[in-house]
Amino acid sequence: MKFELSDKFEAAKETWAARRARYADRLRPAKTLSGLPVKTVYTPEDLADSDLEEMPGAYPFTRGLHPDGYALTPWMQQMVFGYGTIEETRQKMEKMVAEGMEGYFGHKVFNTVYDIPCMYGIDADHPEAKGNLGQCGVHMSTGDDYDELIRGWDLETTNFSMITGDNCLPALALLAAAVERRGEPLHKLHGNSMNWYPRIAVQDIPSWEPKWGYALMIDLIKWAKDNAPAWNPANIFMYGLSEAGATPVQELAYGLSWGKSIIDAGLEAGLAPDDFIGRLSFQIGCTVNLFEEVAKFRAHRRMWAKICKEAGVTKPSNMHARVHVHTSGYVLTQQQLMNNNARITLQALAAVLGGVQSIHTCSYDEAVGVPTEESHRTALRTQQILMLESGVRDVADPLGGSYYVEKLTDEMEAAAWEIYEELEASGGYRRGIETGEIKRNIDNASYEMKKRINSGDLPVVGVNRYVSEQTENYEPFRIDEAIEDKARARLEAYRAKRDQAAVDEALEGVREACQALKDGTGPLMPALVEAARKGVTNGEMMVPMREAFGWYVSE
Amino acid sequence: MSQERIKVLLAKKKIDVHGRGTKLIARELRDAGMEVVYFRFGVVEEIAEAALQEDVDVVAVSIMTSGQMQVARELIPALKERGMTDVLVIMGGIIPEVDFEPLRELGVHRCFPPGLPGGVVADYIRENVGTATLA
Amino acid sequence: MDATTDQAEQVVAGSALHAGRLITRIENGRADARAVLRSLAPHCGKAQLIGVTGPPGAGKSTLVSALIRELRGRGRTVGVIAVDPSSPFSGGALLGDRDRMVESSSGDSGVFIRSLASRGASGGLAAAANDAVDVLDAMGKDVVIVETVGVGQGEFDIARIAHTVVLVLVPGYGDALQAMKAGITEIADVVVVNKSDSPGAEQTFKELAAQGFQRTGPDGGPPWPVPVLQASALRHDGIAELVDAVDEHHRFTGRTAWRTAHEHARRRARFIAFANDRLREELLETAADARALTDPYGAAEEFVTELIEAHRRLTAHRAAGAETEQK
Repeated sequence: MKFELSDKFEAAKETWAARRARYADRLRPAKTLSGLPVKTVYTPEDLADSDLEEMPGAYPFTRGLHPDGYALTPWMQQMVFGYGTIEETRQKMEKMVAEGMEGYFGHKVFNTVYDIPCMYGIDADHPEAKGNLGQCGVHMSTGDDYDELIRGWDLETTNFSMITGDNCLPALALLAAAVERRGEPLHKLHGNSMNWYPRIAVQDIPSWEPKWGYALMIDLIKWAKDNAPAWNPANIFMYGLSEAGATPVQELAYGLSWGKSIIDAGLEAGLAPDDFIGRLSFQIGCTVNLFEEVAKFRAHRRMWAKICKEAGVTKPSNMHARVHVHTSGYVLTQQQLMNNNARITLQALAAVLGGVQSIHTCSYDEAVGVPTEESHRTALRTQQILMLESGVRDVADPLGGSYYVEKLTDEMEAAAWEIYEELEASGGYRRGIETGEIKRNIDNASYEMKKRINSGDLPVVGVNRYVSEQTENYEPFRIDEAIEDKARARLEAYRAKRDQAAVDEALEGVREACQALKDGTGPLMPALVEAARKGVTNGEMMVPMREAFGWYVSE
Repeated sequence: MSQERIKVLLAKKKIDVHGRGTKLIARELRDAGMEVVYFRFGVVEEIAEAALQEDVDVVAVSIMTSGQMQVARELIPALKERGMTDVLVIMGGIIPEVDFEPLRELGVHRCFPPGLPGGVVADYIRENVGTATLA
Repeated sequence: MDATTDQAEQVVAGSALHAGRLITRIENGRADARAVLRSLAPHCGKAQLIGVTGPPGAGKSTLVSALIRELRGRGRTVGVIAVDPSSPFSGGALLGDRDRMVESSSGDSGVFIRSLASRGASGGLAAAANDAVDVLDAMGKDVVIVETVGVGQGEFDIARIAHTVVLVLVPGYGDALQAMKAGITEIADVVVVNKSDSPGAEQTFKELAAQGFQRTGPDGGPPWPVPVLQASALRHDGIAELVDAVDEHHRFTGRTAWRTAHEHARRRARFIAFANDRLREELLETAADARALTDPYGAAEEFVTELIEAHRRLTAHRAAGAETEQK
């Protein structure tokens, strides 16, 4: 952008410099969470190299995906929930709808999180499931559970986001079979598979070997493309990077590299760019560092659009970085719990000013345990207050043109490209899983931040500032341990009514399809859907998959 | 260098994706001069068996996705059964303060809220290691 | 029964509690541990000792995990000593090897895994490793595997402990590999290229296999042709072949002077370590406290000369005594 800076500006700058001359050298230089230096004042001069001639809704989408921002399509309120068996979760779904949790055009959005046994792929009767059933998510493993999940919801106006783990493929197969049982076509299905295998680069969980992890991801993407084209088949889980300790710049760089690794794997598997890239979506963290977060979301859209274009995407809407924000959980403190409401409000505000498509607001008591009904509602209300009372949805990209935010957007983009290019040059994200490089860098950033908090250099109110000796004695939501018996009883009842011979045969089919996927001779998903039809459970499908695709703990 | 070192078994659930706090505390304890065995467990018996073979002074369990009462109820007897009656047992992570006392009654010597400087935990360990008993 | 004998008997009976505690006392250089080790000596020597070494990132722990699985499948019990480096700054350590082995070992009483911090020892091992191996041997483990720190060079200590040293390599360490080739024949009895499904594995394998590594035995007998294998520890590919190769080497050395020389070297190392510890405790510390150390070099020289002189006189005196008796 070329500004013609007049004498008037020069004069103003001189006056400014004179006024601050006495104390200027005493100012403590600030920096963003990512370590980028921040000046106290930004001026048109900072934008000399910026490209400001851009409108919302057009490539490269720095200013947003839609021409009028949220005016026509407000963000979706996608509150994560799920606990107990499907019966408890079903009640919660209905309550959230009654509370006004809405997606686009009044659609319903259910962002359902599975419990750890489901994610890992074990059924309720497995010894390791004990103590974890329905605790931090819903336990859904049978055809009955999925029938109950979709019962009565109109498929075309309901969005099922399924927060799965390694059970991603079995979960989608079970959902598809339930839709079939209702006599409806799969193309009506709306929602999202997480399909986020690459998260093992930073998360200390055992999963598939990298080679097969990517093969499974692509298998799901291909199946969805052919059978459920409105389904979002993969989520790029930048939130996971951020929670593991990535700075916002690292989150950008590694997250985009993750996305690029899916693009590469898809192209390698013979998919055309416009066939699948537009269906990829993002889940991103958001700290309380307001301007840095806004700049991050702006830079992210721009960078992703460039990556998509370079990969051969031609349709502009397929270059959209569709973003769901999960407000960062790690910034919440157990000390002085209520303070978290202020943090969550700032986080949600940053996401809205950054122009994202969907938001989950954490509950203030998540630092203690699973949210109560009251705290979960307050979190939803926080979004609704922003939406209806604050006026922030009225204008697209309201911080566009801000000297500071534009400059920071550019700087974050440049810093992120640097990390991104370096990783790409050394083999990309997938190689980064194997070498442990991503994990190492993020762990180090996390440790540096912790040291800054310990020393007080990075203030956290209630933790290293204004510390209170008073205990909170907050009573969090408790999940009745009797839920475990209920989950086991549901499983037993389901197994009792199956045709065991058909189940065994279908499992054999899964075993063969696993081998076919490894040999590159056939897909796995159809065999899983067939198994779901025959009554095979989540945990049962995972047994042949574990045998075939290994057990990998990243270095 | 043959002086004695405090050895800690730092355990978290095998399939719990929330590893940040655990990793931070592992590094902080290492930097406080302790030997930290990092260990992801599936069932509580595995913690007890690892504690035994490693002969640790401290068993530290990081909890992120609840289940703290269940872990404590099983872990303390499992340690005692193996003759590990002088091991210090601590817990940390997402545990409500109201559970601290019930956990102590089950035999957990101390619980820590998340986000504390690791030095606080290291100091507690140094002060209490060797004096703890599970009897 | 005295405490020493009791502890030894408990270890021999397979008590994990006593074995675990004994290893800790060994690590801490406790004198009472030496006495127990001495009582254990008659129960040692039955286990097959395998060393696993290689550069960081080669997947040593995962390979050990696969070995555990394979050996257990063949009905053999397994002990593991896994060494990780101590921080030179704090003296603390992060011991992460066990974590990678849990899948193959959890809930199995036939497996005993112990992590050790190197505590400043050079050579990729902990000073206590040699004795810790004896504890697991005495416990009755059929096989004891020692996994080193993996610092590239200086992995020679493992060759003094293990009957068979498995060197784990992976593709993508071009320069490091070149640098290591010279040392391979000095330490490796079996070479395995891990991560055989990764790019470049085939080439690394071929390159190494073409070298025709050989190890010459101590008695000038037939040399051991070092086998080069391919494996994927993750996928459990090539692990059975690896165990076969290790067993073959064990049989080979058992037939030759190799084994005798090895056993002698271990006994020798033990003598030196024990004597070293005792001398330090009984003589050196007191001597250092008692002497003026304005000239530490001179004081040390003087002290050692005195010791040698005293020892020489003692030997002469004993010889004289023996002569008198003969007459």
